[in-house]
Parts: sequence; C-alpha cells; structure tokens
Amino acid sequence: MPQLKIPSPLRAYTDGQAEVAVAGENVGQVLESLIQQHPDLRQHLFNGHGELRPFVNLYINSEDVRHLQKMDTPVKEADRLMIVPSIAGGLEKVDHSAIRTNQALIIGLSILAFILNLPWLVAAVALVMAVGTVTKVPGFGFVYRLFLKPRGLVKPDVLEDNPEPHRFAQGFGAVVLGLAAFALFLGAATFGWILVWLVIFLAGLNLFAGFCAGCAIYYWLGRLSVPGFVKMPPAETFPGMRPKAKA
Amino acid sequence: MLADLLVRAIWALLIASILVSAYWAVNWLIVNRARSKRLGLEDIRPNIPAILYFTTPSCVPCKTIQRPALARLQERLPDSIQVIEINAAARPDLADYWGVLSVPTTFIIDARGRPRRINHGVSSAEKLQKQIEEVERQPFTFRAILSKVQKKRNYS
Amino acid sequence: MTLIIPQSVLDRIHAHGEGAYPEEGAGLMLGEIIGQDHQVSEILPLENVREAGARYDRYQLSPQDYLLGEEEADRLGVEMLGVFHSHPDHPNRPSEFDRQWAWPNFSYLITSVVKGKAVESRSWRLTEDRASFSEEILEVGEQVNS
Repeated sequence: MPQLKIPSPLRAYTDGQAEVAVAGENVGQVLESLIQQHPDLRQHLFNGHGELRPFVNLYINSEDVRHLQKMDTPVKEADRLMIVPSIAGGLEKVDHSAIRTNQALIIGLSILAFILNLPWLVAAVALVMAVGTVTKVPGFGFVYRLFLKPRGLVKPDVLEDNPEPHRFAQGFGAVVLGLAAFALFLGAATFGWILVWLVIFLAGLNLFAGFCAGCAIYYWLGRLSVPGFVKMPPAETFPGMRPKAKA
Repeated sequence: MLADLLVRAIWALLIASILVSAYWAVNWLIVNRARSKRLGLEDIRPNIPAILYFTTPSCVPCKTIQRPALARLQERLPDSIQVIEINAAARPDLADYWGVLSVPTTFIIDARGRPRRINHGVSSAEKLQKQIEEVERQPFTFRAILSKVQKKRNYS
Repeated sequence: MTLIIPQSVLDRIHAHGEGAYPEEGAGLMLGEIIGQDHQVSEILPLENVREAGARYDRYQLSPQDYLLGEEEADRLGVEMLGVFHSHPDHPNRPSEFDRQWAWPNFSYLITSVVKGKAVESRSWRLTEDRASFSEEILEVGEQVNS
C-alpha cells in the first residue's frame, strides 16, 4: 500500500504516526482515505470549498502534484507521498491616508471638471483610476507619496486591512467615469454628468461617511453565495469537487 | 463664459446638497424603522447604552480595526456600554431586519433601548464615544460628571 | 500552554529579525513537547523566499527548508515546535493572513522589530476551530533542562 508521510503539526491527529498507510488510485482518493481514518485532518488540509489549502503541498515521489494532475494524479503501490507544509504568513497593510488622498482628488477634480465643463479632465481622472486599479494602488496615491507625506501635510494611517474591496471600488469608479467621458465626448451631456456625479457621490460617501461601496458589494456578493466571496461551504462537499446543486 | 461657469458652480452646490440630504434621509429612515426593533437585543441589559455591531467572518477590517476599537471603547467605559456582536452571514435575517447594507455596521442604542444612530463602515472608538455621549446628552467621563456636579455646587 | 525558551535562543531570534529588517524574517523552532508545553532547544533561521518587494509584509519558507527542519529534528532526536517570524514596525500580534496560513499545534513566536531594533516577542497557537489564535505564556529561562 502507498505510504503517506505526515508532517509534525498534523501528527496529533494521526495518533502520533509520522507515516500512514493509505489506499486509492489517485491522489484525491488517497487523501480521502486518510481523512476517513483521521477525520480531524479535514479542516486543516481543505478549505471551505473542498480545495486543498494553499499552504498544503502534496509530493508524490518528490514531485508536487500541482505540477502533475493535481487530485487526479495516479498513485501506484510503491509510491511515496508526503504532505509538506508551506510555512508562510504576513501582514496585509493598507495606508488609508493614500486612499483618502485618492478619493479627495477624484472628488475635487471631477467637480472642477463639471464646473469648467471639461470632458477631457473626466477622461484623465478615469485613466488615472484605471491605471491605479491595474497596478493595485490608489490612482492619485503618488500625490500623497511624493508631495503630501514627505512634507508632513498628511500623516500615514497604515492599518491591517484587505486592499481588495478598495481596489474594486476604484475599478468600478474608473469604468463609470470612463463611460461618462465617452458619453460627454459623444454629446450626451446630461447622461455623462450624471455618471460623473454618481462617482463623486460614491467617493464622497467613502471619504466623509466611511461607507465603502466596494466593501458593500463584497458583503452582498458574499450574502448571495457568489463563489470566491463565501467563507462557509456546504457540508458534504467531497474534497476537490464542486459543491452539489443548491437546495 | 463666466456666467456659464457661475451657473454650473451653483448647479454643483445644489447637486451636492441634494446628495448629502439624500444620505441623511436614508440613514434617518433606517434608524427610524429600527426604532421599534427588538430582535437581536434579547440579551441587552437595561439602562446601559449598547452598540449593535454587525460583522462577517470574511470581513478583514471588522477583525483588524473595528473589533479592537470596540474593545478599546469598552476599556474606557467599563460597565457604561455593552457591545452586541452579530454575524451577518450566520444571521442574514437579523441583518436584513436591521437594514444592514455592508459590514462593519454599528447601531448606537441608547440607555432606554432605542436605536439612535447608524454607522456604515469602520468607526473609531472616539467617534462611537462621541455618538453615545450625544445620544445620552451627557458626557460619559467621570471627570465631566464630577465637574457638572461641582458647577451646580458653586452656583448654589 | 507555555513556550519555554532559553534567553540565548531568544536573543538569536531577535538578532535574526533585526538582520532581516525592514523585511520579515522567519525560521523554525525545535525542541521537546512536554504535555501542553513547548520547550525550545534549537532554532533554524531560514530564508524568506518571497519575491523581492513582497518581503516587507510577507514571509514564506520553502518546502525544501521545511523538510530540512524535519530532518534536523529527527537527527537531534527532538520535535518541530513551531515558527518564529518578525513584524517590522508592527505589533507582535498575529495578523489575519497569519491565521489563514497557520498550522495547528505549532507555536508561533512573533517579534515586533521597530526601526531595526527587536522590541518584544509573544507566542501564539492557532485555536482548534482555526478561527483565532490563543496567546501562550512565554517563559524565558537561563538554560535548557532535560
């Protein structure tokens, strides 16, 4: 029978054994047989969707199964399997001062564009926001970084936070503002400026009222169980398989 | 040219005012609808203001910023406020009942058990304390109450 | 739950964190498991294999280095107890990302390194439901008792 090596932190769940005999024709079946024998292992090896957690590496004869056929990798009698941990961690930091500077400039420049009737300024702001979204930074963050922070005009406010909803909000704003610029250039002034004010409103909500539209969207997508935003999975999900049809 | 600019500037002011009023109106509506709400407050202790705090397991700033802020607030005002935490993912019924639009969301509930304020998004300990003080119409520090009492004594 | 560690070993962990600053430094802790307690006798300072630019707020040890650790533990006849890592200019509390990537039963010793100087270390273990960390008592001793 194939042997599976168990790393130190998981041996408490395998009655102290460093090696366990397992059965199965592929890696998925082998892991299932392991969990049948030692059910406490499931939540540490698999996430809520039945996928192997990113910090769990499975090696078959010194090759990572992620480079082979993953859960479908065939297993033979004499194969030696190993669970090898990726040890990792870190901080997810977001400088809220950079985000606030970005929002203030988006609002200020958009209002200026409206008052002075400058569609190209709208397009420019949309472009900066789009570039920021793609490069994963606040678009106007450079103003904070290069001018405001070094002069002590704005102090850093670095907090442990998830940058994704903020990035999503900026991306959404970039799209709406881009559409607005397009509409303005085509002559649809009312529609175009309504879209501009929509972006001003959302950025203002965030800057003054602390209401982050991106975060709200993440919340609702999680509530509607859209994959990728959900934490809790259906209970009988076989590891590596999609959840069964919704009830 | 200048007249056109002025007209647009006035429009901008008008639109901004309408948007701000709309935001206040929505909040007022949510808090007003919440006036008679009792679900979720079953374990509330009477005569102490409360913060009803909605969160979800996948909300990072809830864990890293909001919860420590609430803990700091409780340290500053021991026995003077209570925090009721609700997992909106586990209790979507409560979240919808209270009109939660995103997380974290905090409701300020006064000592009489009436919801008075709502915050969408992360709120600092200072902001929450200020709101509780406004709602209770009296400062919440022992020193402030003491100085009030002293003032009364000096006048009599 | 206690992490017992000799002062000399803790000093080496702090030196490693200071050396890695302003990036995160990490390594493995080896020693004895005595009931609920972990007694550190040896450490393996390792390389943060995250790509340049990402090492300021992320650390990662390669699977090869981990296996080295397991081999070393077998060779010395001790157990693998956990991981030590530093938080540059940040408190020594585990982050959300630390929690998502944590292994059960391991001690996670986190050192706060502020402006290049190691300030303080605290040790944590992942709770059984993976929802949070529990802090364990850090006992700094003079020498290792057998």
